[in-house]
Amino acid sequence: MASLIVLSVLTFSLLAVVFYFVIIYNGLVTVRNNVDKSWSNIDVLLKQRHDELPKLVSVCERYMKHEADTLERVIKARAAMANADSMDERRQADGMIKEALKSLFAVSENYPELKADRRFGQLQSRITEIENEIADRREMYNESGNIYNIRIAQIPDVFVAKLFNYRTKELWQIVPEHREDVPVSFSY
Amino acid sequence: MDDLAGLLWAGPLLAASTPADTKDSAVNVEIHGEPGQAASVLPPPPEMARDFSFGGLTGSVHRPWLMIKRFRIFVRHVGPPFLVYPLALATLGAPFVGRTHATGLSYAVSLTAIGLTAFIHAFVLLGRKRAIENCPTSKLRSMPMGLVEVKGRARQKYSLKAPFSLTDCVYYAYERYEWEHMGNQAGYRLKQWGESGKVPFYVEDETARVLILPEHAIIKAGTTQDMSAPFGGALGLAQSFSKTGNQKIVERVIPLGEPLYVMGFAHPLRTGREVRHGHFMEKLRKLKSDPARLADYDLDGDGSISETEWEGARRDMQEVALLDQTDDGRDRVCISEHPTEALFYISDKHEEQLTRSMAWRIPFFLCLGVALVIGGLAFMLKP
Repeated sequence: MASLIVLSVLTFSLLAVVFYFVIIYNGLVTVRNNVDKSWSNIDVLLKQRHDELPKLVSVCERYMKHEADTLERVIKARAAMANADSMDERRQADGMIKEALKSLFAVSENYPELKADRRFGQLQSRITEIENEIADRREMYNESGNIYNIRIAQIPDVFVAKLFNYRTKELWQIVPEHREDVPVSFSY
Repeated sequence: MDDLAGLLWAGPLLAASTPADTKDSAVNVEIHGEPGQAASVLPPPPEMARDFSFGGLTGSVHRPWLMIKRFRIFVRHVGPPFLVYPLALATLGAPFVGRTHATGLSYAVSLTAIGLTAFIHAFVLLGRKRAIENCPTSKLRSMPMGLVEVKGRARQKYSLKAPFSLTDCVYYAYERYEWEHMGNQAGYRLKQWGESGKVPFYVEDETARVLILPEHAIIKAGTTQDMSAPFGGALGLAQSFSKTGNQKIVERVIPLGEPLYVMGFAHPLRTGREVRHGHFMEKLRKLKSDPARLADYDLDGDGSISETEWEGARRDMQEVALLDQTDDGRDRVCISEHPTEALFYISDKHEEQLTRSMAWRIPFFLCLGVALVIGGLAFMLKP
């Protein structure tokens, strides 16, 4: 009788350990895939922005004859993003696109005809919308990455993570130049 | 008392109009869609509210139906149905074993089955807890497709009011009890049960709103109000009941603006004729499997649905399906049950509260499960 109870306790303990291991392993697979999925979800939006930029440039070209530099910067930044492979290159290219777009939209204020163009208005709001979504998804990528990094460092997950060689993921950080103070001068 | 009965019956009907009402009353009902904002016009829910009384002959049909419904919800909460159903069957069948065989065997079977269920539930809870912890929270504006976790406030898609507290809500369920003497014993006995059904609603955060189709969700949300005499008097209609002194109404509502946590499967809403047809067939299937609703179409009361009566039911369902699909073309994405995974969770608790509440239940059910199985084995081996 006693031996049977001991045997059943042992069986249940073994079952519990096996189930626990399976749940931990599956959890790690899920969080790792979540990070990859979050990254791909950013890519979806980057592709959309990539497709919208030439349309924006072609509309602007008609009105901004003297702003070739600004437009060229947008095109160059777009090309840099298309050729970027590593996360660091992407971050740099993304920063370039942001800067170029910021200048373009700022300069567009000097062209009332361009501002009045319905297509420009649509493209501007579409790109701003995509930018906001990219920012949200970057945040989500960082949250996924953070969850993953915490998981693989915590007990008991760390043992399974070491066993299957899970490595920490790099989070999305802004380009260092963007952290610098913006010089403001009032000239009135 | 007649007034009381009238109010009881009118309550649920006031809250959710039937398709027939929709046809007659120009579809729209004015309500406050968002607290503190201007009144907006929302349509009534496309599906009828469920409302069953348990008195007389109908009670004998409705009571088992409610028991089955509650049992199915219980199974969904506990774990995978293919494991829980056989174990539940073993637990329920154990007393019959006791009649034909030794009583000890009956206890043994019951304890082992309940123990195994608790053991499984512990791991199901662990899986859910980790899934909730592992899923990053999305903003609704940029929510990706697939398994998502979102947080926001409940907003109505359809006009819905809780029948007794008259609260604007996205879901309600109520039970009405009457104090009864049965032999030497006295107590509250369930006389009426009703719910809004799983009416689609929105969850809104600071960036956007998304449609939630709560069918098959594990809903752990809502405020329960016990409106028994004399304290229920302050709550709207409940005052009428409190005067009688022998009734108790328990109403659970997810009020408008309630902060909700939702974990489910985000996907685009399908459109088109084919889908509308599928939706219509689904409505018909649901109607067929619900004897209480089907009885509403038995106009001559002969206990069977004639061809003409069935045609009427078909027309109604067609209208409901159409209304369901076309009343708001703006909803392009929704969150609903995952096609394969069972994790579709709606809670009014914060994520941390939710996981913390699961954290202590896991070891409890694990130990309980092991102890019960050992107890069952001990009974089995008892000489």
